[in-house]
Amino acid sequence: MSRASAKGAIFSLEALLAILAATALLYAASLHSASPAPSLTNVYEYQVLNDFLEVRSKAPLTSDYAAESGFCLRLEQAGNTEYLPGSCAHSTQINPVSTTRIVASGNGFTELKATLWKP
Amino acid sequence: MNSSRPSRHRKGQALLLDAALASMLALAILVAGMHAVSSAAESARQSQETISEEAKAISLADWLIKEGAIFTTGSPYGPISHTHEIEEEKLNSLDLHALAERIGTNDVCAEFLRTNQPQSCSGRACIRRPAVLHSPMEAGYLVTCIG
Repeated sequence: MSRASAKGAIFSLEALLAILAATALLYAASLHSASPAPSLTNVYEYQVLNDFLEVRSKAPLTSDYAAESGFCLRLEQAGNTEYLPGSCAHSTQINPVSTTRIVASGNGFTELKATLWKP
Repeated sequence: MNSSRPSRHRKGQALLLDAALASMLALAILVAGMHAVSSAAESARQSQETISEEAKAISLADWLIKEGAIFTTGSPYGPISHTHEIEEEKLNSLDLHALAERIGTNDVCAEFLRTNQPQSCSGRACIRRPAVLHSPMEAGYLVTCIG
């Protein structure tokens, strides 16, 4: 190391490179350990969304009821959009999950698009 | 090792200044690296435990909502399951302790919450899913907790 060092330099070029590489590896390791933990949140949100649609086919969905879940629900059917609870109309959709169903409407069928997100 | 260059060692000095500094830095990096690896392993173990309990709570709720606690009717082709229609008597009569043993956990609880009813079921991982109380077809939430 001493042979390659210039006057006044603490580290030689190769030592400096080795330290830089070690620091980069350490930084990469710390980034990996700080990465978000695995989660089943997405699975759960899809389940809750489908549950809401199932409940809707058996009992009316009210704003108060939907508000208890802590989620926002948007239902689009035949050009009409409904937000449950109503305050969700002004909420930003962050990582929403969506599903589409064909539902009976009058004498025919129509497409129902539902979106769920955490406000 | 008879070198023509003058030695930078002082008497009794094992390492040159740059070598000493480099070795100290290497040691510091090694210690920090070992700490990072062990903390990553610990957080991975904890998140694995959490996700395992979440998965059990989700699976239990799924089973209750599709089979375990729902209203069923007979038909010439066999029983018809009305998913998401919870029968409260059926839910309350389930042996949850035996169920907890079967899924490898200590404690399980499940309850149906009507609108604005406070939750009494608690645990480390809780799942709340929209469902309907079969009689009188009232929308509510099925809560399952694990741990």
